[in-house]
Amino acid sequence: MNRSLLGRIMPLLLGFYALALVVFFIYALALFSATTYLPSMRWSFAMYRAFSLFIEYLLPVQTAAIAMAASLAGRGAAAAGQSQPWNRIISSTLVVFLLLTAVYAALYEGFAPGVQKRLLDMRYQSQLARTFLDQAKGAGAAGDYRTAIDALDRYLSIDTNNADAISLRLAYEPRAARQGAEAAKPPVVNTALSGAQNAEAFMVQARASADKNDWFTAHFFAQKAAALDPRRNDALALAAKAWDQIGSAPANADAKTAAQFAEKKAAYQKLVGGDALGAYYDFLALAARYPKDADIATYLGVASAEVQRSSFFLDDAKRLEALPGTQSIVFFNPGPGDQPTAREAVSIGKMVELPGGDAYFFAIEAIRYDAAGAIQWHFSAPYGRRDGNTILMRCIDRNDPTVRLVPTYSKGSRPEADQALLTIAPTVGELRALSTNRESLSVMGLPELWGNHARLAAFGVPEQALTVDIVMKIVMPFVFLVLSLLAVSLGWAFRARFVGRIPLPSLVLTPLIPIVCALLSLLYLHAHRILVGFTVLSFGLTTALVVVGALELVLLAIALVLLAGQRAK
Amino acid sequence: MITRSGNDSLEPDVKEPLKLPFIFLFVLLCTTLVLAVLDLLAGWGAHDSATQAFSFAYAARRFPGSLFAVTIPSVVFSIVILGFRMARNPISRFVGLLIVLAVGYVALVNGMIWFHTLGASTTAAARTTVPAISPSTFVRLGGRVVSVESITPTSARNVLVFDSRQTPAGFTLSPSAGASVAANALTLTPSNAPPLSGSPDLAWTGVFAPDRFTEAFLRDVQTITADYAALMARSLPEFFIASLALVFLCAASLMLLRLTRWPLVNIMLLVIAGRGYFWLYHLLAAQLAPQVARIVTDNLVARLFPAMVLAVIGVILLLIDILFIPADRWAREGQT
Repeated sequence: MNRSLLGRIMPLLLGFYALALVVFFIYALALFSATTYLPSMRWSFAMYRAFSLFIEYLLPVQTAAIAMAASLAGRGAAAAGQSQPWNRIISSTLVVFLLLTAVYAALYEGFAPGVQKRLLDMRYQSQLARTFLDQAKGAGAAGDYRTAIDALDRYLSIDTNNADAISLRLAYEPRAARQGAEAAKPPVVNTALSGAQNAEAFMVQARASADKNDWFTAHFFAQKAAALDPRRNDALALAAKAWDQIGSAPANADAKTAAQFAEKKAAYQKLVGGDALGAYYDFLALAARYPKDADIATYLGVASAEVQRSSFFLDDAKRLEALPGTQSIVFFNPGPGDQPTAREAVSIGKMVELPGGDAYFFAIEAIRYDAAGAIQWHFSAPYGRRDGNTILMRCIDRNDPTVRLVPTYSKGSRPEADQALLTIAPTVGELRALSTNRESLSVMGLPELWGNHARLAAFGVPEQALTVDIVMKIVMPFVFLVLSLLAVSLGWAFRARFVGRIPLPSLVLTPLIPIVCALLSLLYLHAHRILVGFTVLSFGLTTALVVVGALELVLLAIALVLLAGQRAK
Repeated sequence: MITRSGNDSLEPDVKEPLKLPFIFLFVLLCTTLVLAVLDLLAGWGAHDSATQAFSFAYAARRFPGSLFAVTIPSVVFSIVILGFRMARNPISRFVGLLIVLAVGYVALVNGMIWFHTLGASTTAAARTTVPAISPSTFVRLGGRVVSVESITPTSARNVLVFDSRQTPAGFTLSPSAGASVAANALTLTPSNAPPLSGSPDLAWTGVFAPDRFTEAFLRDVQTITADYAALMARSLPEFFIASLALVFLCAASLMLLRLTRWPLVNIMLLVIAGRGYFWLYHLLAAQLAPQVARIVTDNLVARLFPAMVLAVIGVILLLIDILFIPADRWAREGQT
């Protein structure tokens, strides 16, 4: 044998990988549906889908390449009488197989779920973009060019270079301008005052502000300190003093300044009185008229921060709507302890996650009913924002006080304070697994599945499915290794009997090798799924892991024995 | 058999023909056992796991049926394995053909008759074609997502339906709904929502669902098994003829193992041929046989049409083998 077994296997293996990627890429291109995806996504779809198919069919590709290479590596060896001890021939190959198995595990567990998720996102974004385009055309036909441009902007945030949408926007833009419809830009919000968290810290800031005769700020912080610790007489005293100072306009103020001061004070009173939303819009209006007033800018930021504790801005939600996320989430929300027989079901059309654990929700619906089937309440809300374990569903416009989106109750009602809030039990990670998409589990990696599976049963997902998926994900690298070893044995045991170039009839039949390897490896996997499914359903995860671990060891031992049994000649 | 001696000459092993039936029997027993166990476990998981635990009594009731279901693929697989042995250690082609035909035929015919008789003597209940829906879980049914508080064969309570296709998507709750099971489908008729019908797509039964290639293979195996069972029930001579045709085709197909000088490719060709025969039988039985029955007046010919086609292919392969393919190609090429 002139070349080592590994030297034969690696080029063919890499060649098969490359060929498989090219074939899958071409297949994905041919498979591309312009009705399901945006035409501009053709190439990225083909790339992601090709990679997804590559991972899916890596077992047969690998098996076929190894069997073929081992079969060709042995040709002529016997005739030439050149041979090494078998352990020398195979040792380096085994090490490479272990490395390849590690790479496969990383691809299968690390990259494949992300690729699958990206494909789902592309499909969702395509649907969403088409909805935006329809909205834009509809609004344009109706003469509502501002809405049309808004929808087109949202479309273009997904399909950035679409010439038709760009030209449509250019056509609508002057008409929208004539309608005077361009929205005011949202003001820059200063939230610098929201840093302190305890009464003493608030008092320090209050005293510092009082020293600078900044009585609004001094009053604000003194109020905060008193609210946090009502025993602090110094806070109450400073608040009273600051209020006295605020009480009237400066003595030398002209009429305009006095009016400005009065408006500012009225807005401030709303803020300290608890009407943060009213104060926000008042300060917003004042900021537009008096852009240089530092107090107004400061308290606009404070009011904005207060408002966002119980609601969120519509433009934020709309901006995030086009981003990829988890779709079609449906789950049972474990109800409060006082009504154990009541059942609460929640659906979320889409969840978009943000860095830092924040998340926005779209198309929320929830229903609560008792054991007799009587509905206690049933509502739907267009938007929601995650705040801890609660979904805030009060959505306001940043500039327009008349726009306010809150849940619509089709049946029953809840206390006023709770109407726009929904406490949910699943975390963001668990919500990802609660998607009703068939692919919801395939987008989850092993650590994610492992961490969530125990709790998910309470939310309506059969735990067995998750458990089986966990075990199968653990098993796959073993399957990869065992099949690779078996392929070497198969190829070497049935090595080619010709010397030199592959004869034409054999060459013509070569494509059969990956096809048969695919069929056989799929049967092998199906047998694994049956065993895993049975052990999980009958005995649970721990026993299944033990049984499957023992089985894989046995199969690995058989594969190694078969490999060791090969003759070098 | 031809073996290599120390000076690389080829000497026939006269004991090899005697070993072959026992090797076949050993492979057949192992294959049948493994496949039957897998069939049993898959059947329990996909159909019965929601309603009953897996027990020895359950296994005893269902195992004969599983044995019957896997007899044909087990025999075909064992013939293929025997072919590998015969290709590596060649004997007279005529003797080899007779051995494969004899042991394969005996195993197939007796296996199917015995397992069928054994299955008929057990008290296995008809399989629940629609699995029960566990309360407090969401399942897919008829394109919608459904959860029920409880369900009986005739009614369901607190049926919550989520339809993502309607605009706007939403929940519908029906305190009660009618339920019926027919034609492998569960139909729910909620009092205040459109009826739902389909096979519940339970997450755990999906575990046992094969991929599309394996599913097609299993479908083809089921077709041929069902056809042979029907032939056996109608007329034993017809069943014997059909069995002989199948075994003859498999035996004749072993020539594929000597087709080229690359054994690996030959093996792949044989495997794909074996898979192709199941597909061909499905095609002949499910699509072409009804058309033949309309043309041919003789019912016997119509019933045995698929088996006759298999036999004709077997004869063609045998002639190719005799005329064009050397019996000991592997051994001879190995010496060159």
